[in-house]
Amino acid sequence: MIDELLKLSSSKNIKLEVFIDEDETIDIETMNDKLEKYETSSVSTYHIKSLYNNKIVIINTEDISDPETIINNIIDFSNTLDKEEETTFAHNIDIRNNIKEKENKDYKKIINDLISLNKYKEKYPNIDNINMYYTDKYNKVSIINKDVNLIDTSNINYIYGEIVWRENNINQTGWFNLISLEYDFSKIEEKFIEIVNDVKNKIRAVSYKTNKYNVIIKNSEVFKILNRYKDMYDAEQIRNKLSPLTKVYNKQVFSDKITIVEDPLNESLVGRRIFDIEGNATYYKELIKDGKFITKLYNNKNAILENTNPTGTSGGVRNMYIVPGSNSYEELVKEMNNGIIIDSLEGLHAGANTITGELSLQATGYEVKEGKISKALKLIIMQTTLKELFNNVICVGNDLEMFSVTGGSPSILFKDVTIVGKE
Amino acid sequence: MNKVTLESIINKILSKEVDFCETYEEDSTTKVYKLLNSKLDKINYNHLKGIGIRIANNNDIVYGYSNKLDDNSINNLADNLTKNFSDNRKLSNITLNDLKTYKTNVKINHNEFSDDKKREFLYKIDKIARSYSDKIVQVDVSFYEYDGKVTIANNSSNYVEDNRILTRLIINIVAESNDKQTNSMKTFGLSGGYELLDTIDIEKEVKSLAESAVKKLTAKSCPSGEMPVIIGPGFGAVIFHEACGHSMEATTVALGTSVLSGKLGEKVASDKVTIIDDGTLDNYWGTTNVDDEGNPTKKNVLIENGILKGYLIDELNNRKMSMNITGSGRRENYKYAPTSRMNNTYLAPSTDKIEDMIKSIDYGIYATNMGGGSVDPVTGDFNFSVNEAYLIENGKVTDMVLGGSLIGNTLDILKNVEMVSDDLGFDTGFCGSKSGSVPVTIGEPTIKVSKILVGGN
Repeated sequence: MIDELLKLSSSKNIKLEVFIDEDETIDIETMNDKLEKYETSSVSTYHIKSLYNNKIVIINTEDISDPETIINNIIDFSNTLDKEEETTFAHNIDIRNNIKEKENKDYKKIINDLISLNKYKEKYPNIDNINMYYTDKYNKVSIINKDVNLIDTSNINYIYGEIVWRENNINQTGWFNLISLEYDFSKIEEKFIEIVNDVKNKIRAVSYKTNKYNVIIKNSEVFKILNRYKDMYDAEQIRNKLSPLTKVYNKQVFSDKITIVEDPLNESLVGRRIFDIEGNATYYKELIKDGKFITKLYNNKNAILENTNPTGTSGGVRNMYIVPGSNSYEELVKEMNNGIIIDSLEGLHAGANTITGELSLQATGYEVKEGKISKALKLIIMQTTLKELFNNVICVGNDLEMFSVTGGSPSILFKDVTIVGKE
Repeated sequence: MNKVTLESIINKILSKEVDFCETYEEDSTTKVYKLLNSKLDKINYNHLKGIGIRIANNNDIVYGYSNKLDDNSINNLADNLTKNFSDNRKLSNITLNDLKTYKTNVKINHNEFSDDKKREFLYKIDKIARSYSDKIVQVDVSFYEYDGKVTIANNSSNYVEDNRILTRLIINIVAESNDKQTNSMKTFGLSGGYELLDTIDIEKEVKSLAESAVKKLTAKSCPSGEMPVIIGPGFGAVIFHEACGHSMEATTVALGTSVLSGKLGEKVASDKVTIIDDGTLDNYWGTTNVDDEGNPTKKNVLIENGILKGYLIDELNNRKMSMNITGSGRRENYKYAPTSRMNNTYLAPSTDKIEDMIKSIDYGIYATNMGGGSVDPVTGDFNFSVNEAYLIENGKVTDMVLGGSLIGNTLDILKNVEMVSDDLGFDTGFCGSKSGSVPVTIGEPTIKVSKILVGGN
């Protein structure tokens, strides 16, 4: 069908290429000592980029059985659009296709592993509920036009765990995410125990006194912020004044302790991808270097518009992270001495404004007194802006962890962060 | 798939030891027309076509989905899903009923409102916004169109098709001055077509948004701490959606972990609080004829005068809870198994006057426009953001303040609803949860909450 689509487009003077995204997933959900749900899926999505009469039309479809309708849609949409644009199409690039078969896994063992966590209910009778999710996702992407046929594959393991702790008729939840190239139950169990220890403290959490504090934001929560703002480096968003990085290109925007990179070719990281959705080779790059915003991200269209080269990031960044520092998490706590650890930030989809950079986020965490963790905190708000927060960095930890194919972060110690509480 | 093929798949599955089987087919397109920089900049087109199969035996559930729709692939999917069920058949073969077809009541279909008219309307919004002030530097406005057909068949011989049409207008206006940027955003939507535009006073709405974005450039920071808050009508209802709606969904109630589990018949809110979820409201954004399990949607009274009256129950949680199904089984698309979700959730109006609410506050906030939020239904801790707010000082509304966020706990906040007005308003949004992102309406009249934690500087 793709051949037919390419032929038909060519006969209508439409330049066209197809990016195919094929997912095969197994999802397992366990609830306490039983398998709650087992899911299997196989889905292909076709991302069709076309240029007709100087108009770029993108079609995302799961159905290419009718090439004529797709071509008619392209012609209709291009007639409706106002803006004439240019773009380029994938051409032979110096990369070797990365084709790996889906790994065979013993799902019965995985189910048994997840169910085995139920044994911790004996040691901790206040654990009311253990809900574990495992996903095995095999992904194959390819890009096809008249010149190229590139292929890349990945096989990623996702774990999400949620624990409910019940004490005196009060519930407290704790949860964690793990993403990895290899399934490793020992890491899941380690994370699980960490969360159990956290949740049993959080049941007694209290609000706090409104003030400015030195704050350690744990790696997973720094990543939530980084991920929410992952499009702010995009040249089009900046040009359209829809990014907090408008008008600051080549300027110091964050503390010089902050360097943010995209590292898509790193084989040890889960977001490895050798080409982007437009068939450009991906490569390592610094987006923010020592606090200075040095790299805008370009797809093919925007690269032509601003007379530069595409950055291999069409379709989104992969393996973006803050370059870790040298201090361990424990050293950050010691360095802070007095302050607050934030280990959960919620409501980013509404409380983190992607245009203005304002952050007003529900948080939980711990009070730290003289370098030691004291009481647990909840119902507090972290109130700041992206620029204010990342300009007030005391030090960056060395505990870099990846939380999605988009990227990860180490924990960071910040100074003078406004925390709002009930006291 | 035709009826015979569907019957054959269902009956093949029923030959195993299962007591529930359902197929969900979807063929849907979404189209987004986006105006940016005063030009029709993009048309995004997305076409989904696939099937989801759900099978259960007691509380063992398997779900599979695919967009490979040839008979062989679907049979493989069914085989894969049933491979761990024994051959001890529990149910007899079925013959599906005649297909029952539903469709959204539409006055102006998407294709009846020409591309030229769409473009004209988007241009009009851009012009109104930019002529309000030279500080308006971007107008980002989109039409969203959804045209979908879902077909649901199950082992009870139910066989229904629902043809759904949704239309939405999204306006986001950005203002800039001295390198400071602010924005104001609003959405309008309905289950229907371009008759949506007849319900909007576009001149007034766009000017109001532009005014808000410009005023924010010089607004003070929002104060912080626990204080009384007046929450305006419409999107303000996100407080009830987050604070208690999610905690009444069977997903967590059935496990006994929701903060509202086991509290039926108990007083959980102030007398002023009556909360209803109604999937039948004519052409509302969250309305469907049938839910995603093929059951007719209903009006469900959840809290009445402060007493917890019911939960939202889907087919499979009904087994765990032995409570009637409420027509609330929803999913984003065929890639998700359905679970109980809200449709159009609102706080019933009462008789308190807004001026009395304002007069009763020495120092607090009047939040006139809210953003989204989230909740942990187990603890009841929730948050939501404020897009536009004003200070109340000594019983009077004074300066605009830059929005922060409001956080609290479900059980506390429900009891702190002190006054409820009669100006019931509705707004539209998407709600994300276990079964994906679904369109929901939220509604409330203006309310006064005696105290809530406000995040500001």
